Amino acid sequence: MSLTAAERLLKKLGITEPDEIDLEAIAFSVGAVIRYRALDGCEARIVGYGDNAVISINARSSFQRQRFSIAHELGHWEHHRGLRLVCRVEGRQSALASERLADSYAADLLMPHYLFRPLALQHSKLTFKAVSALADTFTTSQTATAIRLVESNLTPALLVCHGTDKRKWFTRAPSVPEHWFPKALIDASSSALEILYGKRQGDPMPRKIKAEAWFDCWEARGYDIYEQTMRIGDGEILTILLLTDQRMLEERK
Amino acid sequence: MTENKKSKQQALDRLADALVDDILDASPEEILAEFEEDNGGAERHVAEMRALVEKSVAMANKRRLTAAKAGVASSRASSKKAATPIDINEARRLMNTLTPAQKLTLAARKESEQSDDDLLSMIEDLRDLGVLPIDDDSDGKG
Repeated sequence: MSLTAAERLLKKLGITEPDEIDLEAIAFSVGAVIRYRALDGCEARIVGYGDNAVISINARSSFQRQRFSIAHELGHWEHHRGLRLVCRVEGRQSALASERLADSYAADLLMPHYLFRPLALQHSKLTFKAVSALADTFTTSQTATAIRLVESNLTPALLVCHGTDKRKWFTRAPSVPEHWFPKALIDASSSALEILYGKRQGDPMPRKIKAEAWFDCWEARGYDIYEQTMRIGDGEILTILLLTDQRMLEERK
Repeated sequence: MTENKKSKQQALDRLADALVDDILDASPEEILAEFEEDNGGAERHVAEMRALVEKSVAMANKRRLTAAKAGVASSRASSKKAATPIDINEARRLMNTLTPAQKLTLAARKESEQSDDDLLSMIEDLRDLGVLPIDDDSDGKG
C-alpha cells in the first residue's frame, strides 16, 4: 500500500508509535506554529504566507477536537497553500471537496494506516469496544476512530450517524456494495431508537436484527445483520452495522 | 621469502582460486541452497535486513522530530512578548489593504461569523508572518 502525503511526513520524522504523533512538532517541521486562543467564529484557522504559517486552535474545544483541527489545518497547508478558502459549517456528506481533503489528511496524520491497521487487526470484532481502545491509543475522538476503522475495510460494515430528526451521514467499508444504503429514519425494531432518546448510553455488544430494519432495498429481505449503537452527544448516535452474510457482499447483477 | 613459505602461499592461492571457481560455476539456486543450509532461509534474512535498514532510517529520521520539538520549545519562549494593541477600525483598514497578489493561505474550520477578537488575532498573525508591518509606537525613549 503506497503512503499518503501525511504518512510520508510521519515517516520522514521517524514516527513509529502512535504516542510519537506530536502535532506541534510536526507542524513546526513544515513551517507552522500552533497558537491556542479563544476563537468565536471557527474551530480553527490557518494564516500562511510564503513557507510559514500560524495555526490558531480554539482553546475552548476538547483535546481530541483540537488535535483533529490542527491536523485538518495542516491538510490545508499541504494541499491548499496560497489559497483563500471558505470553510463553512457543513455536514460530513455535503462538505466542500477542499474540506474533505483536509479531513482525509487529518485522519492519515492522526491514524496513519501503517500504525492503525496492525493495531486494529488485534481486535477480532469491529465493535465500539475496539473503537474506544483505538481512540485511546491514537488520542482521537470516537467518531473519527470509528470512521477510520470502518473505512479501513477490515470488516464488511457501515457506520451511520443519526440526529433526532434523521440520518446525518454514513460511511461504508469499500467491500460493502453501494446498494446497501441505510434508511434516513431509524426503524422501531432497532435499539438505536431508545439510545437516541437517552434511555441508554449504548449497546454493550452487537445484536442481531433484520436487514430490512436498516435498508429498504428489495435485496434486504431474508438477511440478518448485526447492529451496535452508542450515543456520542446530545441527540446524536453512531451505529455500526455488520454485514456477516457473505451473500450480501455480492454486487447487484 | 623462503622457498618453503612461497610454496605454501602458492597452495593457498590455488585453494582460493578453486573456491572462487566453485562459486562462479554454481547456479544461483545452488548458492541459495548452500546459504540456506548454513544460515537458514534467505527470505528470513532479507526480512531481517529490511527491518534493520528501516529501523536505522527511522532512528535517523527521529532526529528531525527531536529538532522540531526543540524548535517548538524555542518558539514558545520567544513568542511570550506582548502584542502591540490595535484598534478594531485600524484592523479592518489593514485587512482591506491585503491583495490577492500576496498569495496568502487562509482557511478556517467550521467557519461562521468572525468576532472583533478573531479579526484582531488574525492581524497579529499577519504581522508575525511579515505580511503587515509591526506598528510599534514605543521608540524606546520612554
